[in-house]
Amino acid sequence: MRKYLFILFAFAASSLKVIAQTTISGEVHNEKKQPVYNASVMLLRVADSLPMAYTFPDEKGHYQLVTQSEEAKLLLAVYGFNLKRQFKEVENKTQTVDFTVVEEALQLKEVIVKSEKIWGGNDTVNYVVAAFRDTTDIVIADVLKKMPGIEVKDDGKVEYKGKPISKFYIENMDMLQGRYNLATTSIAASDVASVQVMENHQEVRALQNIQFSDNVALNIKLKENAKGTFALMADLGAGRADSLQYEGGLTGMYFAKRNQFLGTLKANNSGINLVDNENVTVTSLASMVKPSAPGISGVRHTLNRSQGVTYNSLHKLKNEAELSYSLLFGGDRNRKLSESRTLYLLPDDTLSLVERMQSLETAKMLEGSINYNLNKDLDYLKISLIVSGHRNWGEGLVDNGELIRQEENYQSLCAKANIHWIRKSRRDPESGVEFNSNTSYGTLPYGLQVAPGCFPEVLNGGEGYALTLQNIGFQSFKNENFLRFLTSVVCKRLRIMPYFNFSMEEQALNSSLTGQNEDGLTIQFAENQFSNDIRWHKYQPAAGAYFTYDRRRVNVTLMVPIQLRYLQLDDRIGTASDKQFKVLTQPSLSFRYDFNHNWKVSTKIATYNSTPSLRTLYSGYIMQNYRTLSHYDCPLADTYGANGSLTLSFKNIMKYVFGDFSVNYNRYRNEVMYSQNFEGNTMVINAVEQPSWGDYLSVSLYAGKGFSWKRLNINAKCSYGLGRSPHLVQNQVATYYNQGWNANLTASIAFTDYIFFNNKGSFSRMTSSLDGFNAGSQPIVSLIDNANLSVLLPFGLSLTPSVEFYHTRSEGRTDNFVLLDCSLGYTIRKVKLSLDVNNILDTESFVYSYYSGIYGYYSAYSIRPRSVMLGVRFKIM
Amino acid sequence: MKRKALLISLFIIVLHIAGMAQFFYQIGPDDYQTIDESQYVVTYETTYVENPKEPTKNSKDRIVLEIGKNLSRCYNMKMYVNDSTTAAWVARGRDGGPTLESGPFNADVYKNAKKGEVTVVQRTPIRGPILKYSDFMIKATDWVMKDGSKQILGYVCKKASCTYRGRTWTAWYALDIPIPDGPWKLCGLPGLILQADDDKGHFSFACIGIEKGKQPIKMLDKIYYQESSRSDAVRIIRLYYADLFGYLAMLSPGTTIQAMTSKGKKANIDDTDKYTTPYNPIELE
Repeated sequence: MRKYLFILFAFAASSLKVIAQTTISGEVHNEKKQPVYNASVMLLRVADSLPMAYTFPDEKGHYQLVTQSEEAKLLLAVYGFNLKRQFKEVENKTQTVDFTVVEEALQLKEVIVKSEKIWGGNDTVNYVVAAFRDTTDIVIADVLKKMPGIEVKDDGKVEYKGKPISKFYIENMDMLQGRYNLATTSIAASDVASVQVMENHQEVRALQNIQFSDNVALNIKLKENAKGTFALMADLGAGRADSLQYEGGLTGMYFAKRNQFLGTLKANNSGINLVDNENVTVTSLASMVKPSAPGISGVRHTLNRSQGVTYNSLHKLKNEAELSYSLLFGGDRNRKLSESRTLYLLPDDTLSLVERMQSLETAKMLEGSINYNLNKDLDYLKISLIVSGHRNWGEGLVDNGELIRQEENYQSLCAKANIHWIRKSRRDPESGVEFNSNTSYGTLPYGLQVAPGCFPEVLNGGEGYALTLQNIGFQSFKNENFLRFLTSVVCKRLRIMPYFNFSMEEQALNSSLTGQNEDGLTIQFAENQFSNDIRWHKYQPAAGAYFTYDRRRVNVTLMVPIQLRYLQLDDRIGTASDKQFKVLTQPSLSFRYDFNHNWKVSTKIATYNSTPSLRTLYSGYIMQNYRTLSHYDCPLADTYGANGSLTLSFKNIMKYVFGDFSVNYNRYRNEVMYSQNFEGNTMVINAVEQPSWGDYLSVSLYAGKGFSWKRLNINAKCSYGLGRSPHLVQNQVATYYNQGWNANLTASIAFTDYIFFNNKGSFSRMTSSLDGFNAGSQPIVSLIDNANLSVLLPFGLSLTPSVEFYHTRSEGRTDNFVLLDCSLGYTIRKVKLSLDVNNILDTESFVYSYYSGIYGYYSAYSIRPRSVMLGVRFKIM
Repeated sequence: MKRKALLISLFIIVLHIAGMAQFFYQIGPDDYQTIDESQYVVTYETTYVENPKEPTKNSKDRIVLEIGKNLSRCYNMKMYVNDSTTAAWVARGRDGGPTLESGPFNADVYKNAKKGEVTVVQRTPIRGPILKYSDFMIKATDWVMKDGSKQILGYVCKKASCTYRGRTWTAWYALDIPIPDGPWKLCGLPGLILQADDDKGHFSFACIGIEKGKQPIKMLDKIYYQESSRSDAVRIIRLYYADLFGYLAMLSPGTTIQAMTSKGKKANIDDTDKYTTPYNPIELE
């Protein structure tokens, strides 16, 4: 019995223990006695703060917590969003505990998401700059070079998958209107959040669902802290090459939502040419024979003195239109030296001309532009005006066995205006009207003097004389007006848009060729043979239609025009006056198909017709240079041609793979041939009525791949070209075959967080041969490799040695040379110091060769000797 | 994913588009309305097993939790990118955007702690209807506190577990971030959930970013969704996985659906095995 009583007691005791629970309740309110419900009330174990129970107060701030804990004491806590935490140690017994809480901002430790390096949709690719940048990158162009699919040229211009970009936006605004290399070489890499590439970019919003575009645009998205603040950067440098070297620059930038500004003030004698010829629409018909600069970085070979000022600004108006204007001034004085060999591959012989040349040229420019752009879904208006003036002087010496002195002097004035207007119907936004008018004007008076007198046999009855004077005045005016009706879809997705076009072109040429004898007396050559006073007029009204078919994956555009063309040549001295009236049609077709997100194919076929301008229609002789005399005494003639291209494009953003394969073919037929006759080293060009045809085939492959591993990025481009062109040389028709291979490979890798490596290599092989002859069969082979290594050292130091290797083989001659550079950088706070030693091996000249048509060209061009430059870059404000 | 491969490599499904037009929506970022403003934006990487018979094969998504004053929104980054791409395509005159890959997180989950409500705006596969439904919210009492703590992204996290809709979840929450929220429908702990895993190892959420950021919290405009119930939404999605042709027939009643082989021959659609896809729902009940 006692035993049972004990069991019963034990059971009762244990039952009591089970039901022994503590209830703690109370109220949570703030200092104003208002209830707080967005908090949690917790019971924590005193020993290790382990939460044992918690609850959220109700709307009246009441809470109740139940625990079966056996701990003698409990920790009661209130946690809440933007509330100061409170703890109370309480007895483990049922009781009421109230809390008065105070507000306190939550101190959150942020963790930034590691973004994908590249992300995007079908036509947009976003590159996260931080994923590609390292501390040696100063401007955004340095980072762009490391992004798969993107290439940056030496002048700061950008290509995407081997194609130049058509628009460059900063925060979706186009301030620089094509001169965007100012931005790529000025905006600090650390200020950019991401770079956006937009394929198939139709910049005119009103045409977005009407006209397909295969243009590529690039948009720079800035970091928040870089927006709306004015930044002024300074670059200063001084050093020594063969003489004192200097460079200095101030760059001011401001990028805000409605206003943007970029201004530069620069001067240097270290190889950067600050004169810009982008908007020059007329070029001279003659020139000095002077050293031809190689296609390497200007800093290597430009021995100059240059100054430049630019001012660019953009304002967003109340109606969301963008008003931008820019002003540029530049001056440059450039000294060039080279030794070259020109081969003329003739049917019966190969002529070789060796020339040692030097020149000194001075250029000044002033340019202003204004641009208004209203870009809305239903309305578009763009008005732009550019006026550009250039003044040039030059003197040159050529030693080809005889010493020839040349002097040239010219000034050009060019103006371009554009009005582009679109208005779409409010009722049917797919229909509307478009008007586009382009006008350009250019004038170029040009003077060339050569001593001793040239072409004595042709000009002066075989008698030598002291000086030849060539004066040429050339003027050109062009106006083109385009009116198109944007009609609605007529059948499913087929749209027909009729258009009308009217263009007129006027050119005027005046030239005179005179001589001077030893005594400075003028020699008049036969006037009608060596002077020109010609006007050329071209009027071309046209009508036609665009047929477009646009579906989700397919886009087809067919353009069928009918043109009337009236040409008139009014030769006031010679006998070349002529008129011509023709009816022409030049249809074109483009097609694009998207297989899926990754693969696209596009093709274009177009026919064309061109007629020579006054530049190849003058009847009086013009001295193009001291060894070329030309005239084109023949009736008005045409060139007919067709070209086609096929492009297969691949992109897989998630795998960082980009690729393009394209084939282009062009075939043409000329109604006249230009006969080139050599008499010794002088060439005389005449136009002859003789039909001929030629063609050109090119195949290119581009591939780019980025890797997460070591930030490796590889871009490869390979192309092959084969051309067939007829030439009339020494009164014989000869077909020239030019063919060439070119392969480029660029790669960048970060071996560690402190060691980066970049390599850019290219290989090319070119041959030129003459049908049935052996001349020029020697190939030109060139191999170039540039490598640089950046090493980040402690204390803000960085070391970048780089090497460029060049190998050229032509005409049995092999040239190998190496250019070695080294740069030491030091960053202290926001100041970057650099010590650059360039061309350490003091290589004297740069050797290169190429074939073009009937020419083979070899040149050894003098480059900048060893130079040492100490530079500093810092932010003034 | 497999379903997509099957569709592309073996069959071209001929659909009568007109019959389906009611569901072919094109949603872009402008088709949302602002309902709150976020204070914090939390990003999670989710790992999930699509086929329960192949538990070692994982898929990944990234989901974003925007925490506002009154409510929070949790959505799939892939869905957001798809909407943006669609908007860009439509702006250029195309019919629509790319198809959104099917997955367990193609929904906007809105949690309103004050009202104790969960609202889900659920996308259904192949641009099927968008359904809005309400669900219950996990309560504090559903969670069981566990021993153990670990550091995640520099925050000391405590452990808790709960069973929700047939799966047992283990969650790690940070008391230093006293926000009772978390990824997807998980919430109700005294701190922000930074990691959660189900006991079968089929689903996991891992926080990869916490940022302060004031951005609008948006909800799809009501013209795009239909009011529905959770059971209907579950039924429709299950149908897609269990019977593709039944699902397509439901989307466009009265339409004849014919599968073709890649050589252009008619395929036998009675062979139903080919049109089922392994399904591993995050909610088992």
